[in-house]
Amino acid sequence: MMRRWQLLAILLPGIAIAWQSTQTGQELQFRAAGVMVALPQGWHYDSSRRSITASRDGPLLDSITMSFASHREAFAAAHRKSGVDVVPEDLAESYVANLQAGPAATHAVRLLSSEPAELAGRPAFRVHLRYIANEPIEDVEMEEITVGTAMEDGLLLVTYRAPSIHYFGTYRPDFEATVRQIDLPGKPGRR
Amino acid sequence: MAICRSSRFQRAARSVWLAAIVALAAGSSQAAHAGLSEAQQRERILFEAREQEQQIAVGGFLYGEPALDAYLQAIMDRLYPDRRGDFHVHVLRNTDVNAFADVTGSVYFNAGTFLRVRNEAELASILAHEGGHLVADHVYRQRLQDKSAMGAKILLGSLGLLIAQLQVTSYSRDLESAADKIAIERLTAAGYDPKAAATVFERRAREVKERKIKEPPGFIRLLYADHPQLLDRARNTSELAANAPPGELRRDEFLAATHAVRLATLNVIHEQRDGLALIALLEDEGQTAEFAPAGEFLLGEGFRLRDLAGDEDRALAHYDQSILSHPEFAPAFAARGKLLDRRGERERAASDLAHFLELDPGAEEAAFARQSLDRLRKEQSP
Repeated sequence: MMRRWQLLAILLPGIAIAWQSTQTGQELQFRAAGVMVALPQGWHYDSSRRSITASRDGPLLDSITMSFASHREAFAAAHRKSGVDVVPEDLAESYVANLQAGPAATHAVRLLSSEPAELAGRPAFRVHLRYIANEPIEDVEMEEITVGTAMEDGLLLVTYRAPSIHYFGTYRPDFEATVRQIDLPGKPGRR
Repeated sequence: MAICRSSRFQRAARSVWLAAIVALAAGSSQAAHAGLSEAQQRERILFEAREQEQQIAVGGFLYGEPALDAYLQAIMDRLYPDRRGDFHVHVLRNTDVNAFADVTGSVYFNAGTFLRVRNEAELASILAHEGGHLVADHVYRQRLQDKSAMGAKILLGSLGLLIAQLQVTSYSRDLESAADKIAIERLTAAGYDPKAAATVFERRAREVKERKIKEPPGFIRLLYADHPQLLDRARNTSELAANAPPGELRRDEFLAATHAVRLATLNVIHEQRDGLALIALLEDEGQTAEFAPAGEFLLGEGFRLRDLAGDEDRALAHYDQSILSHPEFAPAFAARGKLLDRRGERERAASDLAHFLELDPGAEEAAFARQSLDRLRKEQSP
């Protein structure tokens, strides 16, 4: 299986052309998960049927990725179960296990925290990880926060990833604001 | 909480990365060694090895427990009193089983290896083996051989590497046999039971089979990962030790000196969510009692994580045993509560989670436990 970063490297020229700037007050519909998202102002984004990726300075330096996978595919690498009946704690454990079992783009992964959260008004998990990237930039310490919730027909994940030095702390508030604003369309009271 | 990637091949490959660095560094400087005298080559290799040791030291790879290092050093000095001061033992933060020696006289010993031995004689057999490589100058010769293999790759491409690999593998097996022979002699002379060496290989062979561990393909072989070879070595060392007088095992001394590192390593394996390893390490020979109160809980976790048919019941039985033996041990209540929740036994699940939160309200998993408890109470209320 082609590694995520290899795929990114091949697609990078196309991405550079395809990416669009976020506009003030703009909300995007993520059809796969049936949710709306307001990306941070001044970021650029690209979307596909199953994911939306946004970045401010380039995806290797900071990225917010929103993805949706069917329950069958969600933790395929770790052979773990996902489903709307699986509690967030088990989803968190499976997410980390799946990350470890997938293609080796990282090593020395440290789980900094795993706790309950809310995403799109649903019970969710939030894991905070730190690891050393093997590629495309070798030996860079990266951090990642992933918030995830099981929906009726798939797993919704929102991931913020950036180098620990400078970038992670700088743009984390943008990520937190994005997560807070992810919601179901048409829900009363939503911004 | 260190977590490593869990596929068997990736883990095996990573566990020898240090050796791979040594080999690659050696290969890259192959051309620079052409035309050097043996003394100059030796000096050069020593210089490279010292630089790599520096990287290991500053890279955070050492376990860094002085009392543990001193315990291993004392065993090494007992085995090689004539080389006192020449060999230096260091423990690496690595949950896999491995040990290797370098030309500097350093012997590196993975923390995970402590979990695969049961007494000081078995531990000494591994140190004696690595010391055997050093006294017989194997490490220097192996480094030269590695350089030839890398040189062949440069000159001949993949075919050259394949031929060189076969030579290296064959050469290494000879060296391993020679080091095993020295180890038996040293164990006997030091008053340890030399039959302990065969026991280490037999136990490791069982683990390799149970966990379906595969030796990584490629240039560097993972020590103690080749199942047929382990059985061969068990047979060979058994034959070598057949006529030797019985010696000491020093089980109590081993257990006392290594308890902390073994428990810490088990907890890292649990954090890695490696259920197969937990089962292999704890199901055998009543190991759970040694790690009380955590032992039964960790074995239960092993079954929960493996998740084969019947494993949920096995996990529950071990959580029950843990709670029965140590009713103050909070993690077992959390684990049993979660499992009962999954099985729909809400009342018992809520009771366990509430008790867990009473025992350890600040635990890492307390937030999830509170969330589950709130949900269970809502579901229970009319």
